Amino acid sequence: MSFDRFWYELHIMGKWVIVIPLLIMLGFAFLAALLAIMQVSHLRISQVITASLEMILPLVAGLLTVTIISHDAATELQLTMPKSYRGTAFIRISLIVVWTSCIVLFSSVFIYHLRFWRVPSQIETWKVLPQFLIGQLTWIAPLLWFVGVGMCLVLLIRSRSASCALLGGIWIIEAIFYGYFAITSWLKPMFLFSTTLAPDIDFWLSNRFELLITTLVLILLSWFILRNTELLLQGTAGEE
Amino acid sequence: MKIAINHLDKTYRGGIHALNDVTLKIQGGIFGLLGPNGAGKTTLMRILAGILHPTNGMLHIGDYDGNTERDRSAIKRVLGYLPQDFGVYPDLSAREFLDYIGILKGLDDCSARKRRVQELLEIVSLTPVANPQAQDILRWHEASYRDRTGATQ
Repeated sequence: MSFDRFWYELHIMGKWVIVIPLLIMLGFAFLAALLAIMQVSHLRISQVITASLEMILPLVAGLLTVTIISHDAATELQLTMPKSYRGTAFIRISLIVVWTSCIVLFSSVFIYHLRFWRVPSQIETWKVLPQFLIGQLTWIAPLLWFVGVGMCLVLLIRSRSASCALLGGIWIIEAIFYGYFAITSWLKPMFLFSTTLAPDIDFWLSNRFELLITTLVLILLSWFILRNTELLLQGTAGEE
Repeated sequence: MKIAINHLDKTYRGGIHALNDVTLKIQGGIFGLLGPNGAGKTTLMRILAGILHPTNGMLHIGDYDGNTERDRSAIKRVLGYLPQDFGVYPDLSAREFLDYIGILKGLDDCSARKRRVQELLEIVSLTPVANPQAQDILRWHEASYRDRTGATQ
């Protein structure tokens, strides 16, 4: 795959796909600095920073995914190309995920060295390197989960606003009722913000892997839905 | 390129019959397809372009069998299709747009692709507005430029 292809896909998606996650991370860095100056407790600052990685950026990546998948100015033309549209869609989503991951990974190195990294109890006794690496599941799992759910929702509903509203709704429910997610067995695999809101749970690791498996299923589902050209063409001119 | 359509049916999900037993032979040259709204013109064009799959029937474009996935892909390589609703990417200039389409068409050799884009822009007299300066981007989105770019791809 050529560099030109990536450049064009980024250009088509727009600068805001690059700028928004970066601005959000900078905003949270500024907020954390402000809290440190105000001598807010170390625990509270680390919770805010972890929230930015685990709760905010994954949601943003999900919303960006919905926006990118919901509309392509030249969908019909894309479908006539030998290179499949679903490949194009997945390249675009991969660019969002890779860019967001780069920002989070870069930030997490600083956060770790500044000792604001929130370590779940389950891996607290691990050695530094595996602890840091597995600790990255804090943001990887919800990030991919939101991207997978966002993609599936928008492909099934074919409405950007409805899909964004549903993603927002899931986020609010998870944030408000996190206690239920921590104690109800059938809700445990869907507990997205465990590192920020309940780091002491004893199923943190299994929860992260369950989220990743769910994501894999959702991405496979999206891959099949993207084969359905009739669905993709809904609402275009000439649709009988 | 000759097109042969035999007993083509298309039923959308939900049971809407868009095409019912269409048989048509098109020789080379210009061919007009006329019909009232809802007659199935767009559906037929989309099937010819390989976007939609027919429910029943046979389709041959040149030597290619439009019913097989491999030949459909080959048809897409040689076919130029200008959709009824031709959208453009607002941040790409005409030259960039055609270059991008070239990539999607499978023209992987960068210099050959750029040469071909230049030739095509000259054929449709779009060279003056094809470069990625902001003003040019605005100009090429004007309908006449857009349609010429659409035809060029």
